[in-house]
Amino acid sequence: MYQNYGKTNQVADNTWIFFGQVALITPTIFSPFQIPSSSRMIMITAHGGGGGGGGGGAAAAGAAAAGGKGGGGGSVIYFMAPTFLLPSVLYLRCGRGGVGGTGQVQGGPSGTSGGAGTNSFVSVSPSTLVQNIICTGGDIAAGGGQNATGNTPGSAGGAAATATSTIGALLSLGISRPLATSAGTDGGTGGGATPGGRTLMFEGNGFASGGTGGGAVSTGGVVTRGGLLTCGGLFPNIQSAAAAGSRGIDGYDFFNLEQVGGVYPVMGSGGTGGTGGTGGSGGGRGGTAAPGSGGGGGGGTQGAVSVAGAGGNGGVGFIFIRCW
Amino acid sequence: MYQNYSSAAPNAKNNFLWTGPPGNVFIDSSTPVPVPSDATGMFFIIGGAGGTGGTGPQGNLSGNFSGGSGGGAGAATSRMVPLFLLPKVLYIVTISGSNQIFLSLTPDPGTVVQMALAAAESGANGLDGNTLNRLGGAGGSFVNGTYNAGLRSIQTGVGAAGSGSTTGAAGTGYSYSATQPFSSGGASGGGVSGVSGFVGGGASASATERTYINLQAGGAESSAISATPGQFFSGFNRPLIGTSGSGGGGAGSSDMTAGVSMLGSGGAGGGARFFATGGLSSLGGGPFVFIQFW
Repeated sequence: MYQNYGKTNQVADNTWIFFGQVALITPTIFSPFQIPSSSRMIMITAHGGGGGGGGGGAAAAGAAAAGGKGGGGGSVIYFMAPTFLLPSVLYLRCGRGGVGGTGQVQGGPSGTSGGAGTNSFVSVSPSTLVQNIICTGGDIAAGGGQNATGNTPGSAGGAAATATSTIGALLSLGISRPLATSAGTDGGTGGGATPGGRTLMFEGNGFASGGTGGGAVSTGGVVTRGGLLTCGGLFPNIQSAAAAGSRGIDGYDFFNLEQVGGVYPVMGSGGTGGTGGTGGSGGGRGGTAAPGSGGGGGGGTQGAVSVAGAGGNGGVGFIFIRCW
Repeated sequence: MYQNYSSAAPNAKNNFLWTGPPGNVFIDSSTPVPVPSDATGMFFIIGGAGGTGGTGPQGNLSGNFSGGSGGGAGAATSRMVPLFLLPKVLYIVTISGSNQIFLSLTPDPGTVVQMALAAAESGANGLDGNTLNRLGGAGGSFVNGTYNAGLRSIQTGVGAAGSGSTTGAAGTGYSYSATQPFSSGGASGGGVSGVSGFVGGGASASATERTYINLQAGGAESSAISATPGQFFSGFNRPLIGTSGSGGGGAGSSDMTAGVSMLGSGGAGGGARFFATGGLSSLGGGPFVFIQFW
């Protein structure tokens, strides 16, 4: 059995949810899934993992420092087909979530970019050969957010691209719909740009979104908050607190099995960026993402012994299967 | 032919397959499809016929001769529809002179285009071999139905074209089609070279490749290897897909006849032959309709 599934559960009759994990290495193992013999139709939702947020930048006392970029969200594909077109056993591999990057140390080494997410695969054999793939979450996996260096904010690292039939030769056995989500937003700069925000309900793909960038600190020691995630609808907006060094807010996570079928739809969001810091506080860590979303960027910081905020971890990839 | 397909999937129910004859020739026909009374929804896949491959030429001393090219695969598309939107009987319709197959709300050829849930076009036939390179038949183009109820796949589409062989050289195989997994374009036949009385050049038609398999091509000169029939999977360990046959071998091989192609796949081209009649091509696979009611 595939050990990497942190949670492998049958959540309702003939409905399964599988999760990957946050990891530095790319998962390579497939897990078999037996289609119930009584089922005539199958619906698969495969979502790639999100990228980790980039670490914040650090600068000397009185100098400005920027925030890291948020990680990109993974792409999703919906696939539905009659079971008689498929083999009785499918092979699943959930994508990883990217590890958040480390923050820069003042007077020491630079920080790191967040790790990229990887795609989730559903195949007719335990391989990622195009000939064998039924569907995959995306064509290009979600990028990790770039780290900031000094007052240069993280700006590289995009969202996953949507899947195409060229990477899944068996996709046309059924009806499918691929959707991308948003990239993470750039970190802020001290005395300059504020970190970018995201509007979850319009920039996400229904399940996930990119993370927001980390806050910064100006030459005068004024800190900015991490990027705002505007949610609307059922739940409030989220953003790191104003106090220097405040941690970014973890993304909304309504994948909890106890909540499935409850008040909220199954969905999540990226983490928000951490608030910029000064010598005593250090930069705020980026928020951790829900499955499939990007982690928040770390906040920048200033001061002789200061450490910028690390990026938040990206969300794990996941696969839903519903048979009837 | 309309049959209950449940025999291939014992635990399935209300699962049907309609197949038309091979050869990419359409006649006037309509087959009623009664909707099971206990069903509330349907998923169907409709595929056009494969184009027939081109025959191999008779070679001589004057130059090079290519094998026949493969036929294009038919287009296919799928759709899912709640049955309360539809009448109790649907019709699978083909029309003489047309190269399309329809799943329609009416059996009347005069109105079938307007009342079709979906339609799929056939692939073009391959070209007979001669002294020139021969391009393969084009794949069928997807044709949407005009009765747009339900969800339609946005991925299925144009089938694959067969490949033309290089003059006097080995035939070209065709790999899977990423846009239409049920069938593939036909492989081409092998050629011969007669320059200065020398019989040579590549003579094998390369394999058609699909999931799990590579089909053995027809052999080169003096080879005893025959072309391989296409494969059609309907088992429980593989997805349900079909392939074209491989191309016929070139001069001197024991059998220059192309391999038989499966549903919707393009026929393979025949191999060229030195001072004798070239190899026969294979017919394009017939059109098909899979239906799953639930």
